[in-house]
Amino acid sequence: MNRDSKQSTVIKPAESSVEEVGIRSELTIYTESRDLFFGGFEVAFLDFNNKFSNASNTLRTYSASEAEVWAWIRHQRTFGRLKADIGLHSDVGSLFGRSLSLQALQPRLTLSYHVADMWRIRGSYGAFNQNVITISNEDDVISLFEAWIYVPDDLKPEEAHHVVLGVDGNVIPELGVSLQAYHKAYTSLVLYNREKIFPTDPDFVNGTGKARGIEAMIRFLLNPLDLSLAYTLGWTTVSANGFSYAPRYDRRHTVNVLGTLRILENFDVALRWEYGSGYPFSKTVAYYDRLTFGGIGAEPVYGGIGQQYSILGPKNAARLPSYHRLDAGITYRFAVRSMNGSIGISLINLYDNKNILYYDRKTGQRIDMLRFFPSATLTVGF
Amino acid sequence: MMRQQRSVITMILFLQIVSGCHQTFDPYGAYEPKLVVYGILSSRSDTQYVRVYSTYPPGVNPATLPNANQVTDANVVVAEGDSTFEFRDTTIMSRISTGAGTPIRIHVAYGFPIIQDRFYRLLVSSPSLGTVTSTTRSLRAGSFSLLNKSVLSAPALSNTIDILVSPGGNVRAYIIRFYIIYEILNGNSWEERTIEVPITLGEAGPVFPRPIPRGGGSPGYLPGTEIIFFSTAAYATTVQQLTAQYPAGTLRLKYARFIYTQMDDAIYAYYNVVNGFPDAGTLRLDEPDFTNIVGGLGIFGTTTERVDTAGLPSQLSF
Repeated sequence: MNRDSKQSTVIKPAESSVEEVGIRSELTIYTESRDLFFGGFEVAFLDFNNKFSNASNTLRTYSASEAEVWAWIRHQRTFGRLKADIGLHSDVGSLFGRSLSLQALQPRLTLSYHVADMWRIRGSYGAFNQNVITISNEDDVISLFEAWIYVPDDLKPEEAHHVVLGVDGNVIPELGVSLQAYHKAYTSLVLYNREKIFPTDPDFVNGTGKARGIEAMIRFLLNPLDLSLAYTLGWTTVSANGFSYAPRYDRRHTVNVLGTLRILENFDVALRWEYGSGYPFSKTVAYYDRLTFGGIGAEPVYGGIGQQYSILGPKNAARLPSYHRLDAGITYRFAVRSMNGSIGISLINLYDNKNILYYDRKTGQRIDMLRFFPSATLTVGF
Repeated sequence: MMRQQRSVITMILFLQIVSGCHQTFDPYGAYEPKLVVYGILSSRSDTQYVRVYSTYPPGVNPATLPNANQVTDANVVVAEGDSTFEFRDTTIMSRISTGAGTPIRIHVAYGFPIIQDRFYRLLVSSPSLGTVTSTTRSLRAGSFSLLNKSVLSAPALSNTIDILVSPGGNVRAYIIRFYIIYEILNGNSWEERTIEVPITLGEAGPVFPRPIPRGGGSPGYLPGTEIIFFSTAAYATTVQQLTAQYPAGTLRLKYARFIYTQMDDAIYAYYNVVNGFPDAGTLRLDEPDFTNIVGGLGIFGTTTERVDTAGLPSQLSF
């Protein structure tokens, strides 16, 4: 009586697609008083199709067609050293698709003030919402498959309130700096329902979250050298049903360094270094042989040896190795009569760092991202 | 210019030599052993079973190290009111669906009938792994009956085999299994065998019953009752498989057996979680876990079981 096809361990492919057809219209009005008025609307028809198998190799299909309607107005005005940009976005579709909510009206405000000729301080606030989310296997060490879905009808769309304060200017004409701090309050997120135990329990619940951090950028531009450095320090946490954790995209440090040296008028050398501290994941702390009760009602359920199950430690409490990579490129531009083009050599991951792409918790298989990869390009234009 | 080119090439070679940088990645956290306990009290007999084993650390495979998850010092007790039932550690051959027996270590208590609607408290203690506890409330008796037995002998009479179910008051879910008991001629003697009948035939093949939540069947004639339908096509296909498998004169059908099993909240929740939420609508990709064993893993719950049979003609043709 080999009747349980679910016991198959064959890995099945997963598919996810989103198709969008829409129209977008924008309007800008310039006035004699140098005021600017912006307005517009966008209508998008989204078609979602997902096909994947769950952990028990049971095929799941998800198809949905949704329409989104957005409209916005903005007014930009300058008062001496102060520049104001005030606007209102509206998720018109939400007004009709879900219960009426102020979420559908999203105010936006940006103020900037020139304190000196080369320095400006900025502050902005904006409310945002979105109805499309991605889902993935949160048990994966690194999830490669993400499926796009529309927020289930019984849940509120995701909503965030962003507050950003910043200052930017030039220390000397060749050296520009920018520094800003942000705080994002996620008043509505769609998160896994960790308390789901019955099929009738919802897969997802509304939760909350917050993100905060600082971003700094320095750029030094003195011919033939163009050097820029960007650094971000951030923290993100999400909470649902009284449980808080770092989401999988929480990254503490991000650094980008880009240097370009124009050795000759038509000959550039560029170096780019990226660094990102590790994303969160949950460690495996033990295994046990979990009985599946596949024969319940047919035979004593104590039978069998079960299937190996990974017991995970605190959710997303550990960090993956950091990501870093140095790329280099040399470009020579030429022009011959009416033809112009460039010859380039690109060296990706110059010091051959093994950045982790995927790790299979069950087999221990590790797959790394692109290793050292030289390439050459030739482009010709007429 | 030549000097610059040499410098660049030297730098690339240097970076390549010092590189191949491979950051160590440890996916394993600190291991803390836990007891794993499976205790399903059943009305099937007066003998009750509790399995006790343990978790094992990453890097250990019980398939090659059979003792890795064995617990040899566990003491298992189930109490109800003033009564206490001590379980004995033994080894039995499991009766699993493939027919092949597997020796499993298990704790057994004889003379332990389950009384309906009582609270049973489980306590498992191990000097090496600590103590875990759980509580379950036994189920009230339910009933079921086959509404159209005659269809079993003449499947063309109806498209479905209809079973009326009346779950007990505190039952969360139930499952009905349908078997054909038949004999085949093996040499000079008849040998009894069993085959399970699917509940229906799906596009991907036969579909076998899964636990149905209370209220998940079609409404019955009286309040609190519901009806479950087995497809006669699935029944006919199963019989045809047998007649195709065994030459004429070597097969005779004996009877149909229906087993009605009720289960409580904990077992139904565990079943769904472990089997990936077998409803068509779920989008969950993760592999969650569920337990009601305080301090450990596994499940402690109760089931009840009733059996009904119906005679079959020794031969059936469609």
